[in-house]
Order: sequence, then C-alpha cells, then structure tokens
Amino acid sequence: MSQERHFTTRRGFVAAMGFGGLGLYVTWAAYGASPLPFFSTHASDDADAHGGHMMRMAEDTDHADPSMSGMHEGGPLSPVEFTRRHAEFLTRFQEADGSVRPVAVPAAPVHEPDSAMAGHDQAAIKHGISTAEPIEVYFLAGRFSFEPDRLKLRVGQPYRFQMMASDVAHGASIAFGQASRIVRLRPDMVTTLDLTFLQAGTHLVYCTVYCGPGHDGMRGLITVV
Amino acid sequence: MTEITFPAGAANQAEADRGPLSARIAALPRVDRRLLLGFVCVSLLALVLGLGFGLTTALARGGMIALDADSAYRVLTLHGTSAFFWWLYLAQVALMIGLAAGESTEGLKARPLIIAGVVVLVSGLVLSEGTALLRTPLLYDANPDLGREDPRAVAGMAGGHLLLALGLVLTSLAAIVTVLRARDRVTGAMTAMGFGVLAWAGFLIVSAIAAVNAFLPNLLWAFGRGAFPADAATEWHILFHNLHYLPLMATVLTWYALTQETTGTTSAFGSGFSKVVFSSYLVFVPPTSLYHMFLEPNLAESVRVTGSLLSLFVSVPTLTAFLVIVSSLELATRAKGTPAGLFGWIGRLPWGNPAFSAMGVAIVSTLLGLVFAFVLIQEKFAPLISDTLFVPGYFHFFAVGAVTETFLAGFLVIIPALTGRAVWQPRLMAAMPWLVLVGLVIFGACGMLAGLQGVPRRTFDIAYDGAAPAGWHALMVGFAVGAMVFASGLAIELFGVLRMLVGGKRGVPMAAMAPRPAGVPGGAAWTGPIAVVLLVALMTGATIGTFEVMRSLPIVVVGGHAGH
Ligand code: HEM
Ligand SMILES: [Cu+2]
Repeated sequence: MSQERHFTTRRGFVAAMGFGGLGLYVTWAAYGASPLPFFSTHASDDADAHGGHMMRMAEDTDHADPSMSGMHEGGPLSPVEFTRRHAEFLTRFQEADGSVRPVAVPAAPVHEPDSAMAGHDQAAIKHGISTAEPIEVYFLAGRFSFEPDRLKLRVGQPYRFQMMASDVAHGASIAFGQASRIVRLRPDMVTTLDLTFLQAGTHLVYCTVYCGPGHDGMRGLITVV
Repeated sequence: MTEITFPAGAANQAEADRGPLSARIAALPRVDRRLLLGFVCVSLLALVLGLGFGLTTALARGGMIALDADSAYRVLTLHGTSAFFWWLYLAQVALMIGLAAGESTEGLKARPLIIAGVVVLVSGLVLSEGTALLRTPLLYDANPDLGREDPRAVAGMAGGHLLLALGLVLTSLAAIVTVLRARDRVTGAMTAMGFGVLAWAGFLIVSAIAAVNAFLPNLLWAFGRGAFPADAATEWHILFHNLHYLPLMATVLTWYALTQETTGTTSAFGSGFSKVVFSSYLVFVPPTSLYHMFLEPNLAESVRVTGSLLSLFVSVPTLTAFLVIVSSLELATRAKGTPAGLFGWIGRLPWGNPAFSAMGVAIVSTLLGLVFAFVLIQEKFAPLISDTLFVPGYFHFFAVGAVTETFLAGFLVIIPALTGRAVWQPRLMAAMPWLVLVGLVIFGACGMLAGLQGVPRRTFDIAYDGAAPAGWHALMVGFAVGAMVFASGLAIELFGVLRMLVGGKRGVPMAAMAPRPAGVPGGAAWTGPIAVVLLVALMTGATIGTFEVMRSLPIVVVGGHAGH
C-alpha cells in the first residue's frame, strides 16, 4: 500500500528543479541583459543607463538586405561602396610612418580623394574632438593582415567602425588586458560598430577566426591618446 | 496514482527482473558479440588518435613544443576530427548497439544493416584521417572557405563526415528494429532503456540528415558539380548544435544503465518518467541552437535575445535526469541503512568499481561544465568570450570529463561481458577518473581565464611579437599542464580498457549488482536538489563576474544603427 512520498521524491518536484537553470534569468535581468516585463517597459533597451558604460552588442544586422539601404544616414554599405570608401580613407588619413589617424572632416558630401588632404589642418582636428558625431573608420580584414594595421585614435572621441572581410571569415579583437572585445567579420558583409575609448593606451588587435596558415600573424595596433 | 507509490510500478519491476546488462550481453549470439567488439575496437582507435593529437595540440599551445603553422593546424584538425566526430560517434554506436542488443535475449535484428554500417564507418574514418593528414587543414568543421584552393581537402573531409552520417543511419535503423522487436510480447510495452535507445537512434538519424544538408553541397562543389557553398557556416552551426548534444543524451542514457548495473538501483520515479526525460532532449535541444551564432554579423539583435532566453532551457533534460539518478541512488542507499548526515550516503556508493567511479566523475564534470556553459549562452558575452580559449576550456568538461568518462565506464561493463577478461587493476582504474578531473580543472580554469582575457582559440602563436597582454603566457602554460594531467589519466584508463581486449586476465567479470527497485517509503532525497541550487548559485556567480569584467573595459560600444 502506498505511503505518502516526501516532496523531494515527487516527480513534480524533480521536474520543476530540472528547470533550475532558468534561475539565471534574474541575474540577466538585473544587468539589463534580458527583458523584465514586470517592472519596466524598456529595460532591455537601456542597458547603458543601468550599467554605466556597459557594452551593448548591437552591431547592425541588416546589411545583407539591399532594401534597407538608405533607411538612415550612414546605413548599410554595399561591399563595393565599402571598398571605395576604404581606399579613400587610407589615402586621406595615412601618415608618413604608415599609421592612420582619422580625424573629422567638414561634412561629408562630394570630395575628391586627395592625398594633399593628408597633412590635415589643426582646425579640423579640433573640430573632431569637440563634436560628438562619430568619425568614420574603415577597417578591412584579409588574409593575412588588417588594413589599416596601425590606427591612432583619441580618448573620448566616438568612432564609427565600418568593418568587412575581403576573402574568408576573420575576426577582429581589441585587447584591453583584462579582457578583449571581439567581432566576427564575414566576407562582403559590412559590420558597423560605434566605439569610444575612455582611456589612453596601446591595444593589440588580432584575428580570432582561423583563416589559414598566416592566421597567427594577423594583427594590428590601436594607439589611443 | 499507482505509479507514485512504493514499491515502484510494474514496468520498473520488469526491468529489474531481467538481470544485469553484462549478463544479457554475455548471453548474446556469438556474431553479435563479435560485431559489438568490432565497434568498441574501432572507436578506441579513434580515441587513441584523438588523445595523441589533443595532447600535441595542448603542448604546442603551451609553447612546450614548436610546430610550424601547417603542422599545428593539421594536428588540431586531426584532434577535432578524431576525438569529436569519430571517437564520440563510434563509441555511441557501440553503446547504442550494446544497449539495444541487451533488450532482447535473441540479440540484434537487421544484422546486414549493422555489417554495412561497419564497412561504411571504417571507410569514413580512413577517409577523414587520411585527408586531415595529407591535405590542407580545414579544421574539424571542414570549412570549405579554407579549401577553395584545395577542393580535394574539402571533398575528403566532407566525404568522411557524410560516410559517418550514413553509418549512423544504418546502425541506428538496426538499433530501432532491435528494440521494437524486443517489446513485451503481450502488452507491447517498452522498457525505459528500450525507449531511450529509440529516441537516441531517432535523434542520430535526424542529425545525419542535417549533416547531409551541411556537407553534401561542399562535396558537390569539390567535384565541380555545384556552386560554392556560401552558407556553409550557418548549416554547420545548426548541425553542430545537435552534434554536441547527442553525446550528452547518450551519456545520460548510459548513466541510467550504469546506475542499474553498478548499484542495482532502478529509478524511484518510474520508467514512464524516464521516458519523458529522455524524449525531452528532442524537445529542448533543437530550438536552442542560436547561441553558437551570437557573434555572426547577420543575426538581428532581437534574435540574439530570444536565442539567449531559449538557451536557458537547454539544461532541462540533463538536470532532470541528474536528479532522477541522484535521488534514486540516495533513496536506495539510505534503504540499506541510515548513514549519518545529509551526504553520508555518498560514501556508501561503490566508488571502488571503476565503472561507477568514472560515472561519478562524469556527473561532477557535467555540473562543472554547466556552470560555464551558462556564461556562454548570454548573448551579451559573445563579444567577450566567443572564439576565445574559454570555449575549449569549458567544453572539455563535457567532451572528456562527462562524455568520454561515461563511454569508457560503459565499455568497462560491456567489454568484460564480451571477452570474459577481468577489469585490469580495478583500484587504479577507479582512481584514474579523478586524476582526469583534476587535470580538467587545471586545463579549464587556465583556459577559461585566458579566454576571458582574450586569448583566441585555434591560434598557436599568441605572443604577437611581444604585443600580447602580459598575463597570457603563464595561463597557456597552466592550460598545457592541465592537459598533460588529464591526458595521463585518460591514457592509463585507455590502457586498462585495451587490456580487457587483449592479454588481460581471464576471469569472472566484475560482479554486477542484482537490480532491485529503489526506495524507502517517506524517505527524503535532498542531495540532488541541493546540488541544483548550488549549481544555480555558481552560474550566477560566474555570470556576475563576467558582467563585471565586461563593465570594467575602458570602452563604450554601441551598435551603429540598432538604436534607431
Ligand atoms: C577525448 C575527447 C575529446 C574531445 C571530444 C575533444 C574535442 C575537441 C574539439 C572539438 C576541439 C576543437 C577543435 C577546433 O577548435 O578545431 C578540441 C580542441 C582542443 N582539445 Fe580536445 N577533445 C578531447 C580530448 C582532448 C584531450 C585528451 C586533450 C589534451 C590532452 C585535448 C586538448 C585540446 C586542445 C589543446 C584543443 C585546442 C584548443 C584551441 O586551440 O582552440 N582534447 N577538442
Ligand atoms: Cu584572419
């Protein structure tokens, strides 16, 4: 005949405990990393508001869809347009030692790619610091190097990184010592990310997706001053 | 509700009455025993290869041996291919066939399928290993992008994987036929194990179809018969997700059999509940595959968040099975006496039995792995740890500690029954899983810390001419030391298993326990639930720690357009 089971040996209890891993949701919500329907209507969008300068991983995702282009300024770039702007970017900002120092340029419209612009005037640089508009950076990964492989950036200045792989998939990771910040780059797909460095320093940039025999040597440097 | 009364229901009693698995296997027709031994031997060959190449990879990453880039990536390709595809899948075939055969006194049905399976699988193994050895290293996912200039490498790797898929279909069909024929003649009822084998074989067949989807286009392209497979990465992710849960499902089923075999305990929750748990893998695993793609640039943010939330469910089948097994063991052990304290009963378990010891380590290792798996499923962490050494650092808790130890434990039961040879050095063999666990903890701790600091996976020279952060090198040395420790333990276990095949003492196989239904009326079983609470606490700690590391970075990152 039956005697009552202790509750720990009931199937309902065991099945419920099996869902224990879902308890992690609370932690995620506390860090604004998952929606909290009970307390707030917009918690998931406001990770930064709650989390200081917590990172958001929200690269734009719709580049593959041509119908999206033109939706907003600086929107998805086609690989062809990326390649053109990348070449222009290198010509414009490359310094004598081969490193690239992007600065703000007065507005965007038609300007000839002109190497005479390389010796940029101080006013434009000052302008670059004072405005919060991100400065565009074009970053290309290909077997087995990054272009540019030496970037000079400024503390506190937002940069809009437009990134693409030219041949096979690559990764681009910025080392901060205590951790790194990684993106995966797919061939012919432009990934956009806004970055603002908060401290001066020199950071290794390295490839995080195996791309062939030269993968280990694929690296660059970002110097933030 | 008769099923929640003690003693356990009729189905449980029937399972208990059949006698131990080892006796059923020993009684199989000679041809079935030969076939089973064949699968065991081929899978062990793959393990020997996987172990050797894995250790070489680890030593190279730790800077203890120098390999040129080509050899290093070749060794890594050989390791992933041998250990992941061939060892984990051939061992699954051996166990699935063994458990299926053990369901019936008449042995295997559909033997021609199994014989065809042997031929296909051995050819696949030869093709895979040969290609990885001789052609451009594509890594174990056989990435066609890396083989654009060497289509033969793509053909060989894809061909090997496709032969594996075909072999899995053939042997799974045979397993299905066998367990269906073994149903109760009168009632048509299946045992929980028979049902589990059915679900497992079904999942294997579905995954084999996903493998065709992923690899056939690559093969066709390599033969000049199709366009270049541009979607290869996505197809691989879908396949791979199923591929790495299958061994876990197989592990849980093997635990179920081992618990009965080594302690005589059957489930205190009834076989119907076990069936639900086994089939829940099919419900919870496939929808949770998104987290492998969190770093993919073409995945929308909303999909990432949903993917993260769904991933929380992926542990449900494994945790439930864990509770069923641990609580049943606790109840059964307490029924034999009243050991002191909450956890005193654990000491009364048969730790001296190598198969039980390996299973115990596997359970601990699974819990450790889960703690960190749950860091990885948070999509916000993808830019921090995906593609870093964190990933291999944590998943070897599953690949080696959980799955490999469990499969070897299964072999420790099956092989003596097949060969009549005694287990070699049982005390040493019972200690080795613990050595493996120690090594894994060192390997995992160093690997995951290194990954958190940004050390990339699949990269051998991480000095970057001195530009690398200062702490990286020491962690890589620790990582390699941990690998040496667990490789030693595994090598000794492997040697012991091989001794049961050749040259070992002929003797009575280790006595299996006579099965008996578990349970003390009214008894409590706290250990499992406490372990789950502890697990969630550790997951929470690991997650909070990772959020804090992420917040400490001196950079603000915002998606270019997602906020609009
Ligand atoms: C026996 C079961 C094992 C399985 C299923 C397994 C599986 C894998 C897989 C799938 C990878 C990823 C390969 C890749 O990224 O291309 C890997 C990497 C690795 N494994 Fe194993 N492994 C096993 C055993 C071992 C052993 C015994 C060792 C060393 C003693 C080891 C050391 C490593 C190392 C060092 C890496 C490379 C990490 C990296 O550079 O990304 N593994 N393993
Ligand atoms: Cu690369």
